Amino acid sequence: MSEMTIPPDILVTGGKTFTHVNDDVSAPLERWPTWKWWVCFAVALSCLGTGVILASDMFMTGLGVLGLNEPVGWGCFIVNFVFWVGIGHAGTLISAILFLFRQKWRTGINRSAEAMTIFAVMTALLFPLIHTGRPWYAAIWLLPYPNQRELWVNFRSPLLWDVFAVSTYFTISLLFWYVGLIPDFASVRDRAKNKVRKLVYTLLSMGWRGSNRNWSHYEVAYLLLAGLSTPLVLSVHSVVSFDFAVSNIPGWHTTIFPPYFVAGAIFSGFAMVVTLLVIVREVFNLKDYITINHLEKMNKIIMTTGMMVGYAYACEFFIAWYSGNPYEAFTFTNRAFGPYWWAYWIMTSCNVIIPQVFWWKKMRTNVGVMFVVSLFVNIGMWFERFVITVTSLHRDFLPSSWAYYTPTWYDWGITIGAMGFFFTFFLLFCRVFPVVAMAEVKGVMAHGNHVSKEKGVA
Amino acid sequence: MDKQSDATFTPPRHWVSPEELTPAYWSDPGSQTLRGQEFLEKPIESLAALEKGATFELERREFLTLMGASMAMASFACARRPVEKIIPYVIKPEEVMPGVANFYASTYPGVYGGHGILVKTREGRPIKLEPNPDHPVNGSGLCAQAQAAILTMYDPDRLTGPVLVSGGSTTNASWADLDKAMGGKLRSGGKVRVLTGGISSPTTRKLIKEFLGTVSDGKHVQWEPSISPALLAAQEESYGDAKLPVYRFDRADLIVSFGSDFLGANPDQAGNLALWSKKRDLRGQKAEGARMSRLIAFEPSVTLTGANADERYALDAGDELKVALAIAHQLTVGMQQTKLAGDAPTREALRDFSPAKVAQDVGGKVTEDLIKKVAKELWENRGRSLVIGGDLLSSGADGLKLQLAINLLNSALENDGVTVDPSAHAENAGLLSGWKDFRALIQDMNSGSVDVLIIQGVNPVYHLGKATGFAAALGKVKMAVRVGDRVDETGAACHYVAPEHHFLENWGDHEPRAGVLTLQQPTIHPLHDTRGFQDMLLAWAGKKGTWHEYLQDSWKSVHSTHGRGQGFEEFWMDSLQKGVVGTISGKESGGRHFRTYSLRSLMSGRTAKGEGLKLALYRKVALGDGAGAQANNGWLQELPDPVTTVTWDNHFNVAPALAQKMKLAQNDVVRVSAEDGTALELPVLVQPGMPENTVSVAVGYGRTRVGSVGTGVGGDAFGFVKTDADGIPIFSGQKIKMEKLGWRYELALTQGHHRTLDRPIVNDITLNEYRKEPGAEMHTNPELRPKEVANIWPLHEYAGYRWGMSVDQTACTGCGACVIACQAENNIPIVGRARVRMSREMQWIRIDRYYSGTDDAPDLVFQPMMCQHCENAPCETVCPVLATSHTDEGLNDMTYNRCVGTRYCQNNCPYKVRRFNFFDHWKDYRGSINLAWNPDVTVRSRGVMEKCTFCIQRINEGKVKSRIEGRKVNDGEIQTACQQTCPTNAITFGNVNDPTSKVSKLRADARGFKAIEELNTKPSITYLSKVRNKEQGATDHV
Repeated sequence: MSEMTIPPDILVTGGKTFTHVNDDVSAPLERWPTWKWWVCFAVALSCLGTGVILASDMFMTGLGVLGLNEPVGWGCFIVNFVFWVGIGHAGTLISAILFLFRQKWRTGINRSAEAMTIFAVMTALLFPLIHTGRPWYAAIWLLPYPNQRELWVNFRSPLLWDVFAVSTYFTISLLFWYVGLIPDFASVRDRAKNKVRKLVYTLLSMGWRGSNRNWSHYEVAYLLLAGLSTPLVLSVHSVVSFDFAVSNIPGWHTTIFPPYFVAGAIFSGFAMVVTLLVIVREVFNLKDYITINHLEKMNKIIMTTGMMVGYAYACEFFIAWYSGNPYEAFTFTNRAFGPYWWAYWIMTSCNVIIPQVFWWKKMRTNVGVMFVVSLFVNIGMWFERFVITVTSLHRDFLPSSWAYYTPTWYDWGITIGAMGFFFTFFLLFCRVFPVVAMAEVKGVMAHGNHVSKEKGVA
Repeated sequence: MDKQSDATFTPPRHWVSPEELTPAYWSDPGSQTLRGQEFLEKPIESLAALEKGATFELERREFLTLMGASMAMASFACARRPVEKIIPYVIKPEEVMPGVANFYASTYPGVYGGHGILVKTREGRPIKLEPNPDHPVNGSGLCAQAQAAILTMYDPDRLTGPVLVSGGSTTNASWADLDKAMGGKLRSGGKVRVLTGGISSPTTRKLIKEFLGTVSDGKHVQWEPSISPALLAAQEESYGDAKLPVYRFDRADLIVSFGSDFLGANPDQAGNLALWSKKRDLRGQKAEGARMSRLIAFEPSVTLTGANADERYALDAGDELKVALAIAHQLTVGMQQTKLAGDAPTREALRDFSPAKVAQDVGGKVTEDLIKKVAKELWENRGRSLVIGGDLLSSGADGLKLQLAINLLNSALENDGVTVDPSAHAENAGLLSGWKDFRALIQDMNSGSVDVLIIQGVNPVYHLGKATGFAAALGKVKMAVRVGDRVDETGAACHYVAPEHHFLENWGDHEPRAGVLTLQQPTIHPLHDTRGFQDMLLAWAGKKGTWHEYLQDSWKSVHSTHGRGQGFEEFWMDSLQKGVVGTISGKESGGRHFRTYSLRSLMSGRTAKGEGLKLALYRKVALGDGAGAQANNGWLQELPDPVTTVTWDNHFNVAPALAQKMKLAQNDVVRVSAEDGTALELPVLVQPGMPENTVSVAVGYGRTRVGSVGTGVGGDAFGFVKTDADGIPIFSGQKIKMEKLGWRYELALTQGHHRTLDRPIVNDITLNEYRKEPGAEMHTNPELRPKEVANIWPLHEYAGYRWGMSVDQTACTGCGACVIACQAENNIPIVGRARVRMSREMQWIRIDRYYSGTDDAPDLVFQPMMCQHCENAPCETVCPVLATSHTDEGLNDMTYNRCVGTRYCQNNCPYKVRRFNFFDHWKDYRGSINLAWNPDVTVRSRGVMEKCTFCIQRINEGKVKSRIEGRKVNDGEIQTACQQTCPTNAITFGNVNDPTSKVSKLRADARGFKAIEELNTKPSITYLSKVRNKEQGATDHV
């Protein structure tokens, strides 16, 4: 019989056994960090510290220390918010959607990706709070709690929808991630020699015994949570895009935003995953679990979503002309050739042009190239949100109110502080939680699988 | 009760609070003091005195104790408030109801007799000035400077007592010291001179005369720099009798202006605006035969007057004379018209000024056809036209000649006595001889023979000090006393500075027109240890009695003419209440005989124009001469100039063509130097409409001693002024050189973009178009009035009142009075130059100014833009905490205490009328400035959004009042602050649900449109198209 069989992907290389998986993945948790980790951590902490000091000054003095003005009421902080929420979507896509599509290769990367989501959403949640004029009230008044004054929030406002969407997203992602971690915590617990370590992981693993019952509950819970998370990948960033789309400013008021933002979110999220994993696999010696294969697949997704984003740019320009709406047409010409042309061209080259290198297999399997490309993609996506937010605001309907927005040291410092916040958490994660989903990887390994042994697949 | 002691304490039978039942309350020295001081007098002193426990006597002009809250406002930082005991009134003073304002009629002083004001006082202190509707000159409104005057009263930089000046530093002195020193010097037998500005108060002039009567050689010099000496000299030469004419713009169908800013930086701005706009009001007329006056302006800079002209022609500084004479030539020689047509001296003088030659000389927009056309039009409108000139811009070396030419034209056109009314002003001989007397004074000073010099009301060291030589001469005076409210440039060069009352703290009278008298009354006990100028003179003259008594005594003669059977007391009270006595005579005074011999100076013929750049000086609308306290008034400094929208600085205005030629960009700093070496370095502003070879700059800046706000702002352009052989200052037309310095200074503009890009924001049409089609629209994209805008939501219902507003862009001149009135009424902070640069100015109204046409001959249109109170407000749907909502009366409300500051509302507002508090601006307000707050309006903290509220505090006040009286609110009863102060009544506000109200009718007017209507925001403000009376047959720009 001449059967064309596509050999299944080799998801774990190096002839690993289950023991190897436990050893390799738990090793970073069980040893003292190297100087490399300390250097990264110090950098992340100092960025965070800068952000905290500047933000504290901002709370005491007022939002005036930023570059915001009349008409540009939203600047770097909202850009950061959208940026970080967007990044989170990749993790959920990998965890939930790829799970439902039975993409076995997700198992090597989903743990780190989901962790990235949690920390990205936490970072994002900082911004709606601190960008308000009176955050001490914003923290409570945006929540619909019953009160004596019979005051409710404005359910028609997209900012309120954000509150629900992002908090839901955070809750579900956290639960999903945690549920997936339980068997792995149990593995670490079982290996633990140190009393404190054992206690901590015992508590974290919630009494996991590895019994049939445990596993079947786990599978069902996992499936349910994956099912719940899947729509969130599409809805959360759509809701965030409504912050812009529901307003009437030219350049914001457009129905393309929900799919455009979601595509962009996945685009930048995957890029961030690639950035993180390239480093993690190198530093923690996990190249056999996070293989070039995995990275290549992610790069393909990056390129695809990048082209969707590029298509959306072209669409916007076309519609701006085709609609005959002078405000819309002006906004887009202004984006490309007005005072913010530099931001626009950074955005276009980083998002549309640079990912095209991934057409070549050699490029998308080259770790150095993909690392650089992923950084550029994130820079480009940050600038995309900057272009959307700022260029539409700074020149809208009445030319008399046009002005220019220049971010100040506080804007940049707190932006960097947010990055420090994210990386601090991620670095800590790497040291205390297993960065690869051990239980799931074992499930896709050839080892112990009689069928695959017969076919001679490792 | 106070005699209780601990031992024999019995609780009182009737008590107000539980504390009164304890002996401690009665023996507590703090509360004892407070109870003894129920009626305190001086807010500032009371703060200190309350610690010391002093007691005060009650005076007639009593006012209230500051409530605990306002004391706290004035004295606290951001720490916890100190515990203070508030004692309520047991016996409430008559007329004073906390929370209800009292209004007092008074006068805002000015050289032409000032403007009538109603002073709104709350709890004993004035907080707002409103126009006095009974005043015949400015009944309709008040200008920006008058609205801002309230802040100057509370200026913390005011002197709190007399000071002795020596060697550049000041030491506190007492009145007793000063009186003694004055007494000695005055009786020493030397020359005593009193130098003041133009004093329109007949009683004050009388008192000064009496005061000078007590010394051996005394003279009163009224030097009024805002009145052009050339104007007066020309009146003397042309008519034999220097009279200050009143310009009756309401009698003129055609006005030709040569560099006059009568609608802008002018002491009589509000009056001029009222008169001029009367002849241009389309709201009461049918469109078909609608009539408007016409204004043609020739000027070397872009003034507010030129901006509002129907036709404006830029010409270089110094060329005005030639154009005026060319018009005269065309009238008399060319058209052979006017009774001067056959007059030989006239023909001789005009010989060289044919339209063709002049057009060739002047060039630019001034063509031979234009001159002929203007002459023809003037002749067709003879007897009801007006030629005017003589502001700084046209006071060049030929200033006197220009005035002669203008007199010639007005007389030839039979305007004299009709539109130029020489008898309407009250006689003030001293004012008319002011410049001559001033020069004589300087000579006396230089000879060292002046023993005592009292300077009040003018700042001659700063104001033209170098040009006139006053600054140098002052050093030779034996005793110079400056009467003013601060140690300014003049004060620093004197020996004493005697602080005088602010006009709101002092009595006075004024004579704005012949036959009309107004009173000025104090509305608050003086804040500091100051004295009225008149009280000082009485003291130094050794006379008994107060100025108040003197004034009343002097008014006995007024009573005899206007008394009408009333007793004096009754008449006095009536006059105080009304503020105005007498009316303006409606008669035309009959033309004066024009002495053609006065034209002899013109017979020297035409001088060549000369190459190179010329300089023109002008006054800004906000600061005027800037020599007084206005420069330290933050509201005025931050008022965007109507034409340039610059705040806080002056600058060189340069034509776009010139900027291109010299490769100058906006904000480039240049050095402009005159032939004698005077130089000034300021940034460049590229100003469309400037003539190509003239650079203009505003005076009134570069103050060195005025206070913490105004010192060092801008550069002093008075250095460019020289005086000619007759001592008349030459303001404009100097030859200059301009060089780029290579560095930049960013001007704080509030508007950076000047074209509407054809967007449906304003509608600018000509009178012809309007007559044919009242709803005529200029081309916009999309259409200005969309035929149908779909609405998917049900609209709000308004059962009771529904508030709406209409703004007539034809009546609006962009003067900015509404901006300041709103700022005063609504506790709007100023933010300072750096933050204006960042586009964070806080004023709730901004006057958008758009150019149309070409860069070298633009048309300007002004649009006051405030919250549109949209029915489908985009801001309301997006606020997450519902801090902004729609009321059932049509307003878009702003709930400050709910706002968390997400700024989504500001983003979604297409008109960008919302203002965000980026900082706690109120913390910058120190000391007495805190007394200027309006207690009816919240002071916003940082993080909170604010915007125009249609003066909801006034709406509520009006509704309450009408409810108490059991009726509905009448049309026009509730006036927003902007509406009330507008001198041309451009803003109308009222109940839209009432079909008979003015605003309902205007909303239905064919000229009405809404800004960007196709967005379906459904604004409550209807704008009425700007109609310009361009020449017959002309249609507007595309």
